[in-house]
Amino acid sequence: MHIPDSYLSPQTALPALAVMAPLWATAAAKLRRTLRLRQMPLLALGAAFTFVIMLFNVPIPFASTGHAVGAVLVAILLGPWAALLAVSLALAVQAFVFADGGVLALGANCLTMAVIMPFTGWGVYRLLAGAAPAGAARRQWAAGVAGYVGLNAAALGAAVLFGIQPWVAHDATGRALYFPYGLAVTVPVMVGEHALVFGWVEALVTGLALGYLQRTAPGILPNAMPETGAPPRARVSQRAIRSLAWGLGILVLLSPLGILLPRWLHAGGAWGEGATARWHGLLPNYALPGQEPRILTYLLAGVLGAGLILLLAWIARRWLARKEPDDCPPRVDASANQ
Amino acid sequence: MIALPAWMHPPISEQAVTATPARKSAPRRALGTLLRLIGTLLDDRLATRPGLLQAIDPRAKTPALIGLILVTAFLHTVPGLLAVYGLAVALAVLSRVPARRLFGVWLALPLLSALIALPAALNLVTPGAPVCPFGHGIAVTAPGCYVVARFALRALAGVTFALLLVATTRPDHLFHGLRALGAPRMAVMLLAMMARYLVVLARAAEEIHLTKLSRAITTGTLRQEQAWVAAGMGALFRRTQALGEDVYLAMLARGYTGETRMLDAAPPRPRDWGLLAGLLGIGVGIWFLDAGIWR
Repeated sequence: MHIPDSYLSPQTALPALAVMAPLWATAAAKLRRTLRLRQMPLLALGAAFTFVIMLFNVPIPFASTGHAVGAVLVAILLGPWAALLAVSLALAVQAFVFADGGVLALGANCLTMAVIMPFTGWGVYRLLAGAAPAGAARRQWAAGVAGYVGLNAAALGAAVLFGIQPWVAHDATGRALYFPYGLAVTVPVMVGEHALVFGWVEALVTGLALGYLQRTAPGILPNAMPETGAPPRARVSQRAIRSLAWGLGILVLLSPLGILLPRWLHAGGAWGEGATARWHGLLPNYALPGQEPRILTYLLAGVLGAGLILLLAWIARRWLARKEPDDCPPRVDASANQ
Repeated sequence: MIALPAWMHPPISEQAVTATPARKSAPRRALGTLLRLIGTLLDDRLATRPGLLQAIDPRAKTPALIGLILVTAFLHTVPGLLAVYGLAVALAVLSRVPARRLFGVWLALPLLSALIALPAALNLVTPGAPVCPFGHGIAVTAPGCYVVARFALRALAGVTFALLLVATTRPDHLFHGLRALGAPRMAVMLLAMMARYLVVLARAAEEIHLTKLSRAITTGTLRQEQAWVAAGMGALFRRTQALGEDVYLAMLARGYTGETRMLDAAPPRPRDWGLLAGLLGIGVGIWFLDAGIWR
């Protein structure tokens, strides 16, 4: 995913550097507060670690190998701001010492692999791992999914940077001066190959590496809830949740009544229903595009709609309850009572 | 400048890399990559060879070559890109860069760039006067060929300047050269420290892979091999953390208080600034010709 020099116009590469400058400064300021004196050796070694793991060959099917970026793994282990600096340093060394990845494109490369990838991956990991204990399998799965999502987000970012070149920079006759393909080509190609192949390599490496550290050195993992054995907080009873789930399921199954009843009773559509002229949506009029509503599509719309609302509610709950350390039951120090 | 003694370039792992089988396993490939990395970091023969660019202070050379990369990015015509590539070749010859290394870059990025841009030569992407029709309304066009040639030439010139910077400058000097471009002192120190410990961690990764090769009679299943790679990364992270603590304590023991101090070398000589001005002047001149005459 390294963007070489000469692929991006100066109108893209230089603003990317300008965007990265305050982000680097912010990351350095945040780390200075938390790491203090340890900052320099830990950051330098973390950056070297980031560089070296990119060289590991991961076997993939058909007797081939691939490489992982590792930015999400570094974000999970060191935090997203430390990962921003570590990956930026690794990319700078690649550009200036090995001429791998552009010198002018350093800002763009950092934007995709040092910002988009670790922050997206870290956010997904925090969302999915939640308050699970340090050794929980859920954290390993969360890390895998985070690696996959992070890499694909970075691939999308790179695809956009490539794809806007014909629009940003062209000569008097309209010919592209830099990367010659537009978004219609770059987005499907880059996101497709990363979603189908490289994303799985990243997911595998991130999840398995975290699993290894969970088994062998759980104390290394940051932001892990201690396994205190204390009972969980009081929640809505499982019985109530099951009842609501059954009720929601029955309502979804009954949703086709919305098209059957009007037919049986020869009634017209509700006032204001129907796709507008400007926005058609995924299932316009609760049917496949260009078709009349049918029972199956109505059911599908019900399942999709309910599912989306539940997902949004769950995300909102996570967002509002993100002060996880305060939510954890306090550790009981048994030795204090002796 | 003292050349590194041979014992600091141990070829232990080379046997593991060069030995058969014909189809290398993932650990062997990784071992080869790690060896090349260590070799590149430790090999300063070209950077210490007498030559034009080697003699320039990095604080003048780095802005000059990065400036020329910037000029390359602003050129819009094939004649302009040919002129700037000619400048790069001239600098390489005057700096005694081996021809094999100089023209070896053709096989890397520029060739790949030409292959990537090849479909842009078709009238489906770049309409214009057909040069080579394929039938069914598809043809290579003259403007399309120009787009491909410009794209590949720009990649060639850019990577050649980057090669010149990398090949004629030792890594630690290169980072100090970034100070002339306004890079913060802390960033330069981090880069220099990172490059130093890159060799240490690469050796640790090399040991991890050698351990695997020396204890494995056969290759495991795909899942087993993937799990081993992930475990190797985890093991390397644990070593990194432990090493980080050791380095931090060693720095404390030697008086580190958190402030970044650098030993400032003597300022660049007037001829270094003269070469900087001359190279940038030539680059700007090519840009003027590109913007005024060749467009």
